[in-house]
Amino acid sequence: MNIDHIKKFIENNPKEISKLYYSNRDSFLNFGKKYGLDYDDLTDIYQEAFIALRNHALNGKLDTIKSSIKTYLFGIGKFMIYDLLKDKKRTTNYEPSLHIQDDIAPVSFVNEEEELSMEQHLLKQFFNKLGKKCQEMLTLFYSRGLSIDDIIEFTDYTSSSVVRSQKSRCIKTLREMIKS
Amino acid sequence: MENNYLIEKYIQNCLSSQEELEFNTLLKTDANFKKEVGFHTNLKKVVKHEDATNFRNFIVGLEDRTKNTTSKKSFLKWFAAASIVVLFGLSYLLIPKQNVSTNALFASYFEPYRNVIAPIVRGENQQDDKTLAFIAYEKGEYQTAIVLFSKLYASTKEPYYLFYKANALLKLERAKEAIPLLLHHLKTKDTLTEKTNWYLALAYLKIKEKKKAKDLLKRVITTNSYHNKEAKELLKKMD
Repeated sequence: MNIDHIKKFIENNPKEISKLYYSNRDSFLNFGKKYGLDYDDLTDIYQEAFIALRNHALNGKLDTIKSSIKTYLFGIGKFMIYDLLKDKKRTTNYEPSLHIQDDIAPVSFVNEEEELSMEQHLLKQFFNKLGKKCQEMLTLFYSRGLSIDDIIEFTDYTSSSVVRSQKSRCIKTLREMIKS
Repeated sequence: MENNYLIEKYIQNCLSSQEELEFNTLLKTDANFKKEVGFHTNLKKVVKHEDATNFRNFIVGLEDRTKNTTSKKSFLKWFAAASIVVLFGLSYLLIPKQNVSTNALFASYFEPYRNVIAPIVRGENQQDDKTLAFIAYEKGEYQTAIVLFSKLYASTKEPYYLFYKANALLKLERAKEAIPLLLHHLKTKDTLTEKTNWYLALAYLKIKEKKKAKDLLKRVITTNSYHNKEAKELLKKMD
């Protein structure tokens, strides 16, 4: 997989993400048509598959993938199409051979989104009160999985000690909010 | 300092096996370390959750914009075609029936049912879980309300918590999770049960189970229940 695509998800630049989203959307909708699903179903699936692709990119699952981003994205989409067909009971067997032949292997996807506990909900409220810079710093570290050194590469910070002290300050502010 | 380094690596899933041993030992023997790990683990979950929600909203926004543009384009195409037809002197046009998406129908008909269980009076309410749950619900903090409704239903078994939790889930577009709760609620003899079919119909509409949605809307109409007028309208639009 092209490392640049993974970087795009980490950087989260709206323009780049939109470009990536639209670059495969129409061909996916065409690809999905042959499964007899309507436009609404397919656009929903494409959205979910794209979100799943991002999760895989951030969790490091794409690092060792040899296929192109398009093939992988379609693979997730195909898995979701089977899932929906199963829900709709239009089919009882999910052997790819029984379906339309193509080169796309389904890529399984597990929805990892969990509900937050009460304690985490409170923490979320405090996190949202932090300044933008702090939210960005903590997002890069805790959600996008960047190490202190990686953060230098993706931001304007120039040294690891500056990143570390900025991160510590943000966490300190958060702790103070919790205490007060 | 050393411990912070271990926590940092744990959060990023990159502890070496030696560090993992050290980490697990500290977790068992050092209460402060354990507390600190708990804090960072919670923070990771919260930040990931927020990041994922923002990303999802961004993508949903992209798709909504695309759909709006497409429908404008379709209108323009239709207008161009119609002009040509008029030029060729045809006396009438067959306008294709507008295919309104189930998502759009859901969005225009769904509104979370108002709080009739625990009226919130500013400054006069006790801050118990029930009040907090309905305050969150009224303020639109549905995620918090869901957590509290689940907890309250587990402890009290009051059926209306199922109904309100399902409403909150529907508002968050999590219809698949709302359906089992509404089906369960239908089996209870709660005062709100009369309204459940309407919400269940909307939930099925949201997941594009049109047949089930239509059957339920018909039931709402024949039993003259809550929102039967809206049910008639919606049924027409779904045909």
